[in-house]
Amino acid sequence: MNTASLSLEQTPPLSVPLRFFLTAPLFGLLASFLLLYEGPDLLINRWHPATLAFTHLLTLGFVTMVMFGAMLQLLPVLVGCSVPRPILVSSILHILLSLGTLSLAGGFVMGNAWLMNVALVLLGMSFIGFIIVINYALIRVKWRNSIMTAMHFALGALAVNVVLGIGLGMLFGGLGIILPLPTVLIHLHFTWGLIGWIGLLVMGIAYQVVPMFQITPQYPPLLTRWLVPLIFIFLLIWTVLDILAHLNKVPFIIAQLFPGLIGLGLSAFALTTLNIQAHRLRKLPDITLNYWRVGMIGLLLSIIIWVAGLLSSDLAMKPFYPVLLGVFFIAGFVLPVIQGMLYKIIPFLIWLHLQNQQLNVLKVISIVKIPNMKQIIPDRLARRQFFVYLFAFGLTIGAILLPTSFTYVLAGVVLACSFLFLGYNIYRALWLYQSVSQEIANCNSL
Amino acid sequence: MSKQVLDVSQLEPCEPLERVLAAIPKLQVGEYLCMLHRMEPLHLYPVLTRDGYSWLTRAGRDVPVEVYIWRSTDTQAEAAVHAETK
Repeated sequence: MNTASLSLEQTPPLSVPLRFFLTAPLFGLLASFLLLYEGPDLLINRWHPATLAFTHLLTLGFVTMVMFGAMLQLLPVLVGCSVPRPILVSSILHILLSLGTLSLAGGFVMGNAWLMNVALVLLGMSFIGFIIVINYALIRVKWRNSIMTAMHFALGALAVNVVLGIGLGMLFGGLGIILPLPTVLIHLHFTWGLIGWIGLLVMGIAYQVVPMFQITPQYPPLLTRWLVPLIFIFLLIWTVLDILAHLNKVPFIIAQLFPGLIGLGLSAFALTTLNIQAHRLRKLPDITLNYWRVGMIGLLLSIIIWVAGLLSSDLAMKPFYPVLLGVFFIAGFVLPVIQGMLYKIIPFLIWLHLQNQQLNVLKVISIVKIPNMKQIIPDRLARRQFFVYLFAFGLTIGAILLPTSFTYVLAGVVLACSFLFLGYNIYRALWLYQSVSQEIANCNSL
Repeated sequence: MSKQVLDVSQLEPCEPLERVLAAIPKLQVGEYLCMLHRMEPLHLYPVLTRDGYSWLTRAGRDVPVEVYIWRSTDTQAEAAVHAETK
């Protein structure tokens, strides 16, 4: 491994990841407002246009937004390969993803084919650009580790999902194309997006950040080496078999074997994470640990719900079932893990950049006191936001199971509060960064 | 005593770097710092180079990584490090 290249100087400018991290809570807030505006129908019918808009505001506007920022940040630091012209690249990707997601949500809610087609172009450019840029950076690295492997497979899953998404978008956008088995393709799009793109990337990032930030033992090498590739291969085989099963070429039971195997793989990841967290070396309270624990339990519960739906067609046919499964996976697994990750990565990056700025201008003599990570986003603020999130998640599940005009309003309001609070904590960290950075610059000019 | 030991193996990021940057200016002539860490402190190296320190990293006995740090101009400390790590 070329350790010389993994230096502080490799860290891209703070604005590269931060523009994505600062935008993500705004999309979460928009999703909450959509829930309040559209009412209980959004939570009981997966085909409702507002449900599709809500899902994409969260998966693209929040989750993918953070993932873009995290990958552009982690590549140079962890892998040692820099993205060319990072500010220009991140600005273009950020604008395309933001406008594309807004157009897509608008296209769904207003039933506007023009907006839908604009979204396809913007999102298509954003994803293809992202895949090219990251692959360009990755292929120049001569060595491999578990996070790079996960990035490769997550990008592969993203590519599959972009093709499916563009095809389905063209169908919704009235571009006159005919797709075979559209319901099956929607199911594949949902699965490749959530498990392939988001799930595999979360696993790769977890292999790095859980031991590093939560002072746990390392994940077992066997797991970090094989699990992500295996899940990707299972997804591929399942995709082929699922299409063949719907064409009556193979029995459904054979196709359904693979979701079971994928579920086992994801469960192994969740249980291993909970296990190494139970054996962490320094047992101090840590709110991000709570986030990851909730996320792993959310993942296990969503696997149970998924497998229960495969075993019981009565359950799978209930209108609320796909929404419940999606909410458990997105809001019960992905959202808490991402929030836990943000509460570590953002303070660390801000600290790193301030430290670097101070060392560059003042050498060893410290004049300005650099706040530590716990001061950049205080635990008490993160803890309060955690409880608001937990309450919002519980209320959203309650509103799906008991859809009344009261439950969804309550869920929507608390969900909005959760994203608002998260946004406040992140923006507050940025303000602190700006004030300390200015202080260092002032000392330098004295 | 020429050897100062700093165990940061159970501290979360930013604390190890903060602790070591606080400790190295206090090194006297002939003294070196032995930093015990659970991972290689890749962000530390360029800072050490910039500030005139040398280092030697090796697999540790009780922790995964040991980093020996001394002032680049201090030949006495350097000799002591090489004597201990050979």
